[in-house]
Amino acid sequence: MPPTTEIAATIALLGNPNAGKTTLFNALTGGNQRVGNYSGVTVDVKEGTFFTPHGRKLRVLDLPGCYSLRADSPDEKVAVDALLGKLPGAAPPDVVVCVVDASHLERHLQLALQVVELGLPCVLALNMVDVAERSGLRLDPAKLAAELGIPVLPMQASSGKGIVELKQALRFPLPHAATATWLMPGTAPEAARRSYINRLCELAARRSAVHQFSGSDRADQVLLHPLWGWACLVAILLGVFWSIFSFAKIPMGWIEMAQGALGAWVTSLLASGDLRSLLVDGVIGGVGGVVMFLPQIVLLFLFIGLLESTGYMARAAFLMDAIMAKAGLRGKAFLPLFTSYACAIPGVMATRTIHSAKERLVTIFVAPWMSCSARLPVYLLIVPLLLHENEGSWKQALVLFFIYALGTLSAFAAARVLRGRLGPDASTGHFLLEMPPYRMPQWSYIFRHVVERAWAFVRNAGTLILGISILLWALSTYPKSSGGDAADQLAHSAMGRVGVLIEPLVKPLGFDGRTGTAVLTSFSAREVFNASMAILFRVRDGGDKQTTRGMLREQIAAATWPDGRPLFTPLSLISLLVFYIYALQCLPTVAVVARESASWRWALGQFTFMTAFAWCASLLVYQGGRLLGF
Amino acid sequence: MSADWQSLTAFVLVLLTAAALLRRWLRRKRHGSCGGGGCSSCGGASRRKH
Repeated sequence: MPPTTEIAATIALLGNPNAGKTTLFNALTGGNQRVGNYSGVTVDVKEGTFFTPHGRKLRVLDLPGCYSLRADSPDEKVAVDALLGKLPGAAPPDVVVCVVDASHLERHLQLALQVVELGLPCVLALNMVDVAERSGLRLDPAKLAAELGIPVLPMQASSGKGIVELKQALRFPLPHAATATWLMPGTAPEAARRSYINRLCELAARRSAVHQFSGSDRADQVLLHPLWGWACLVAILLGVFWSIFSFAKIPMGWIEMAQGALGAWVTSLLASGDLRSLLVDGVIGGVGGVVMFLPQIVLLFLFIGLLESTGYMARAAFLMDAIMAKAGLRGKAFLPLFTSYACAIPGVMATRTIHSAKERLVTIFVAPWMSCSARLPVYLLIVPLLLHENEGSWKQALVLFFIYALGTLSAFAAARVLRGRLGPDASTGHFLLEMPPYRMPQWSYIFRHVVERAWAFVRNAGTLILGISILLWALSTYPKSSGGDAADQLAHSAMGRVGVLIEPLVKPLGFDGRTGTAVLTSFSAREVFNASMAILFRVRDGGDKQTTRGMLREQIAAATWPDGRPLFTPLSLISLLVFYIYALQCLPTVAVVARESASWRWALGQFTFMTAFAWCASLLVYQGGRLLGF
Repeated sequence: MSADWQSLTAFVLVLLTAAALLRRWLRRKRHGSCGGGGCSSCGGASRRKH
C-alpha cells in the first residue's frame, strides 16, 4: 500500500513520570524532544507523526507523566484532559500506548488499568526490559497480554528495540478496548487493582528470591550519603565550573584569532571613517564580545545534558530536599530550579509538575535567581578581571561556584519569606521522587541538544546582539563633536549624554555613566552587556582597534574616573557581579511568568522587586565595602 | 569624499538595523510571550510549547 499523507488515527503515549514516553516519542517520530533520566521533563502535550509499516500515517501525542488519572497537578491535568478529549480542538485518542517501566511494573500498571477502565483501546509498552532483567525480574509478556486482554510489547526505546513491533501492533484494525475484569461489585477499585496487579506480577513478572544489589545501589551508597553525597555534589559542580573556564581556552583562542583577523582585514580594506568604525568597533567588537563565549555555553549545556541523562539529577534533588524543606519548598521544586540554570523560561514552565498552587507560584517567583546561561558571558568577563588573571584557574571556578551558590541560596531565602507570607496550603501532597537507575548517557541526544543550544546562541548573536551593537555604536558616535579626542566624542554622543543622566543612579554602586549605560542596555538581553562594554570602552585606543577579550579586559582595567582613580576596583567589580546575580534582565521571562502565573501583576511585581533588590544589594556591597576600608 | 561615502553608508545601515529591530519587536509583541523564538539562550525551548 502506498503511504498516505492523511492522518489515519491518533495515538497517545501515557505513563508514569520517567517511564520513557518522550524517548519512545523521539524513537517513533525521529524528533528531538527534551528527555532526561528523571521525572517531570515533559509538562505539556507534544505532537508528532509517524508511518506504520503498512503506510498509514498516525499522529502521536506525548503526554506529561502522571501517576493516576486523578490529575493532582497542572501537568497531570493536561494529560488527563488530552485522554478524555477535553483539550480545545482535540478528540480523544484512538489508542493509548501505556508506557510502563518494566522494572517497576507493580507501580506503573496502576495507571494502565485505569486507562482500560476508561474503555479506551490500549497497548502496553513494556519499556526498559533490559534494566528489569538485569535487576533479576523474569518477564512473560505473552502471559501479561493474555491476562490483560491487550497487546503487550517488550521494548528498549532508548536503543530503538521493539519500535517496529509497536508500529506493527498499531496496524488496522486498531486494537479494541479490553474489559476491566478486576472490577468487582462491592470492592473498592484501588483494592481491586492492587490485588489484580499482585496476581499479574506473580504470574508474569517474577523476581528472583534473592535481591540483587545493583551497581546503581552501590553508587547510591556514596552519592546519597549524608556526608559523601554532599562532597560529591560540590566536587561535581566545582569540576563543571573549572572545566567551563579551563577546556574552553583553546577554542576561545581560535574565535579571538578569527575575530582579530577579520578586524585587521576590514581595517586594511577601508580607509579610516564611519563605516570602518561601525564594522570594526560596532559589529566585530560588539558581536565578538559575545560570540567568544560560545565554547563555555557549549560546555555548560554538555554538562547539564550529562547530569540529566545519567540519572544524577534525581540524586541531587534528593540531597537538596532537606534544604528545600527549610525554604518551605519540597524537593519537586528542585528540578524546575535546576532547569533555570540553563534558562529561566523552561524552568518556569517545569513548575507545572508542582501540585501545590502556592508552592508553584513561589518557585516561579524565585526561579530567575538561579543564574541562567545568559549571565555566563558577563561572569566570564568580570571574574578573571577580579582576580587579575586569564581563564582557567581553580580560583575562578571557586568564584563562579560562589556566584551560583549565592543566587541559589538567595532564591531559597526569598522562597522561605514568600512561603510564610502566602500561608499554609490546602493540599498536603507528599514528595515522591523517582530514583531512576544510573544509565549510560544518550550521546546522540546530548549532541543534538548541545548543537541546538549553541545554534540558538549564535543565531541570537547574529540577530539581536548584532542589531543592538550597531545601534549602540550609532548612539556612541552621533551626534559628532566638532573636535577633541575620542573621549570627548563619546561624552558628546547620545550614549555619553544618557551616561551623564543615569550616572547619579549608578554612582553609589561604584559604576560610571558608561558602565551604567552598558547595564541599562543589557535589559534587552544580558549578553548585550559585553557588546556594550566593548563598544563603550574602545575609545581609549582611538576607536579603530578591534576589541578582543584580553584587550577589552585591559581597557576595562585601565579605565579611570575623571580624577584619575581606577574605575574598576575589586569592590566595584563585585558590586557589578551582585547586580547581575539578582537583576531580572530578561523580558521573555517576564512574559512567560505572566502566562504561567496568569497574572501580569505578579510578573511585573517580580521584575520590579528583583531589579530594586539588585540595586540595593549592589549598593550595600559597594558602600559597605568602602566603609570597611576596601 | 571617502569619509562622506562611509558616513552615508553607516547611517543607512544604522537606519535599516533600527527598522529591523522595531519589526522584530512588533512581531514578538503581536505573537505574545517571547514570540516563539525562546529567550536568548533557551534554544527555542519555549517555541514548541506555545
